[in-house]
Amino acid sequence: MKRKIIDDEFISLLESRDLQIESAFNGLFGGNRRTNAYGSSAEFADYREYTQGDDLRRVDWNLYARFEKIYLKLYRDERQLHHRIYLDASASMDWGKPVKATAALKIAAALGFLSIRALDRVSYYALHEKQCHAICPAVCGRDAFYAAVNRLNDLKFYKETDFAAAFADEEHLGKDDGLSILISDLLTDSDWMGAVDRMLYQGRQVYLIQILSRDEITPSMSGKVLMLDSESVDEEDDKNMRYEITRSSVKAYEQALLYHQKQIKDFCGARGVGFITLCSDLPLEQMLFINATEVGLIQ
Amino acid sequence: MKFLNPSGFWLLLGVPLLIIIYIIKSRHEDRPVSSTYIWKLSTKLKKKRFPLQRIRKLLVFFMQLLMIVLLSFVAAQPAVAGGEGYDTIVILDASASMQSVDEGDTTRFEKALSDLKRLAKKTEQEHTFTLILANDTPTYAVLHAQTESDVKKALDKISCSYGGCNEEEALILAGQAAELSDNARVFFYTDHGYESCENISVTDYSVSPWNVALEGLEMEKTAEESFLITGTVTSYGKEAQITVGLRLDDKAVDAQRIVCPKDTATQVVFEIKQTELFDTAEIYVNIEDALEADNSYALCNCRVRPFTALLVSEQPLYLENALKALGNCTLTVTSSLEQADLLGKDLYIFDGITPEQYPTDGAILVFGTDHLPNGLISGISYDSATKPKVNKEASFDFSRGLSFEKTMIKKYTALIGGPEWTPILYCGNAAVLMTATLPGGMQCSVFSFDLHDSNLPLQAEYLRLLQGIIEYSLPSMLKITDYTVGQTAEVAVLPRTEKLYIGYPGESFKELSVSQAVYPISLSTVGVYSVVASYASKDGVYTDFFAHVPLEEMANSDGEHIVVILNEQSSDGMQRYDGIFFYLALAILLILLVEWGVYYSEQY
Repeated sequence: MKRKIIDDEFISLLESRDLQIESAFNGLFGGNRRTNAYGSSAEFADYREYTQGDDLRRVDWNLYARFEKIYLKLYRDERQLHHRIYLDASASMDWGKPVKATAALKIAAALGFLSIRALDRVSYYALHEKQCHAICPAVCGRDAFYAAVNRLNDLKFYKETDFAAAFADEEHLGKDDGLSILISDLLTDSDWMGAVDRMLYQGRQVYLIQILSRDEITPSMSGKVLMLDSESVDEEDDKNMRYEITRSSVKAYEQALLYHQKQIKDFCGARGVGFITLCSDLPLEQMLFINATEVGLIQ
Repeated sequence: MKFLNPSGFWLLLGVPLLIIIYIIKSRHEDRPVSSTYIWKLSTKLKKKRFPLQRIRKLLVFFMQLLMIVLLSFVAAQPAVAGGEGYDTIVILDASASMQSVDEGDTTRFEKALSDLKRLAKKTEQEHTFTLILANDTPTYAVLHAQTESDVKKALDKISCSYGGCNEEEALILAGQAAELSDNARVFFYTDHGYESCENISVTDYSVSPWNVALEGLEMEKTAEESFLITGTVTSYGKEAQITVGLRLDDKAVDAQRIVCPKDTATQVVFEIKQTELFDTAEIYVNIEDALEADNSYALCNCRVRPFTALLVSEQPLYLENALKALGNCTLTVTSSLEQADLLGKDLYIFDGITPEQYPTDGAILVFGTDHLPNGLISGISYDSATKPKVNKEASFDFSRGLSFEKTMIKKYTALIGGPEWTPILYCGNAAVLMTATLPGGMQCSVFSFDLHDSNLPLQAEYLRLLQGIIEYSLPSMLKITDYTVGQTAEVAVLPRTEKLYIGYPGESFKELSVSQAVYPISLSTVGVYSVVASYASKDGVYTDFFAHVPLEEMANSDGEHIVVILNEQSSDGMQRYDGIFFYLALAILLILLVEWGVYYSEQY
């Protein structure tokens, strides 16, 4: 069944919200985001001594009267940012009740909407196996956004994702011009940490959004089972696992999940990366306005 | 190493069973999941905390396997020959119950013998072998034998008895044999379910079989000229429907089918309507039970044997009629002593006429007090009608139940006797009928009143009293006719006996010595024995008696007893090593129980 990730109610929820941009990016000309660059906005930024050829209209004559030196008034520049949203499109994301993929797409759409509403550009990327391909061209404006959402609706989740290989190509990473948001369940051996480091190296503000299903947080299985991994190729795949699930092994699972999340938090904390874990059965409002707000992604 | 019970290895079938259970249990249900990443991470973390977790199940499996193997070893009773060696003393129960056949055709005694033959192979020069045959009179079958052949020769000679087992005497003999040895070990091969003690190990041969035992027989003559013959039957081991037959003088006359509850004595009553008496009544069962020897029971000497009597009386009517009513009596009546031959009779009756010298070859009845036998004197004479009464303290069967309510005795004299004289009847405080066994062994009874001076001969009690005294007094070779195998029957050699024979069950006869007054016969076989005495006058008497299996041997179902081998020796002198296996298996079982407890607390 074709997904429908946004509707009018969804849009109305987001009308009063915005992405919280903490870093100073260079950005592109023509946007609405204040940047570190000096430009022609109305917001004062600094003074500097006059040099030959400067525009005399920007000389602060009051200072000249006080110090008998000519100073120029500098103003901040406003630019357009380019946010990049990476969706882990592996098979494990197409799992749970409701499926994690739906929650991931809704979040991606919400973040995209908040971007274009602030006159920023947003790009969606799907991570398949060793590939990172753009779901649609960079989106700017509402029409383009709705077209992109249609593409998101059609996104297929299959096989597994090799984060290291997918982020090896720097072309889609961008440089110092906005947020990079990776949405995944992070239940993988793949080197997603290396991918995050590459994004940081490109001067991007990075957020990790982990989506888990309720069954992954508190497993309800018991007895002797052959766990068939959704990303496995066949029954003999190493990803599959024979296991006797007891009360103690469920407890061990929960401890292992906490351990895994602590490792992610430690990693993110050390690098100033925002990290948020969401359960797929949570309402979108809670995901966006409580959980995402707590980590400073949305204001 | 040898295994005393190799069938214990059947327990090893549990090994493939366990493997099958593990294979079935190890089947996993397919469950698709999004990712096994966290599960694998959890197992990694678990392994760090519990390094042995990985092999835990494998360990449990191998421990279960080991437990099965150890238990099968315990069941197989492993044993090795005693290292230091020892003198073997075996007490072999040779009582009747050891003749029981539990399965096949082999009796318990034969099984014990074959075990003994195996044990005898271990007899060495340094270590001796002693065998005590424990029957009613335990004896050494072989004492301190040093070679196997000596033991085997002894074993070939011994046989099982139909009597009991005198364990105490056998143990005394074993103790005496052990005193001569530095290192002796005592084994008791029996089926009586005795428990082992510190120094004696018991091998129990009882298998709780079914045994029907005929345990008693009584006869009563009823007023309707019929006999009630009551037998006691017990079915040991199980409830059974049994047909009990009755033979009178070897002629089958009746049979009854009865239900015998398990281990409970049941009465079977035959009512025989005939006036004619018989010598032997026998009940029997024709069944295949464990012990055949107790499948019949006989009652002998049911009637008075033929006897000769001399009656010296001037008015012999009453006495003559009484003797004729008794039957089987060859009577000579005379009115004076001169015409009487005081020799060669079984019974002499002197009615008012007493000889100077009483005969010594027969019972004597004296009426009157003219010349009393030795040890008896006459006291005050009375002349007043008095009711006689029975001396209830005297233990005579014939006087029990006699009532003289309508009897009056007019003239009587009080009898005063020594301790050997027992009063039978009193008139007031005066004893008027006394009896004693004279030094020659003959019974003498004295009536101190004249029958003609009383109405006694007109009463019904007269015949019963007189016949009772005569039957009691007649010289008899045996006072008892019902013996237990193992007992000794004492045959009294009657006067005038020239030759004495005993017929054993199975129709073998043996002549006995007549030089002694009493001839003891040791009873070793079940059945009817006959004793025949022939006189010089070519006539003679005979009597039968029955010897049965001891009652305790009939109840040969010893399932309730628990035999515990307390010392470390196995039944054939092997050093048993199953104890250590048992405790090992127990320890493993405990560990497994703990493990299972932990597992289930984890699971639920």
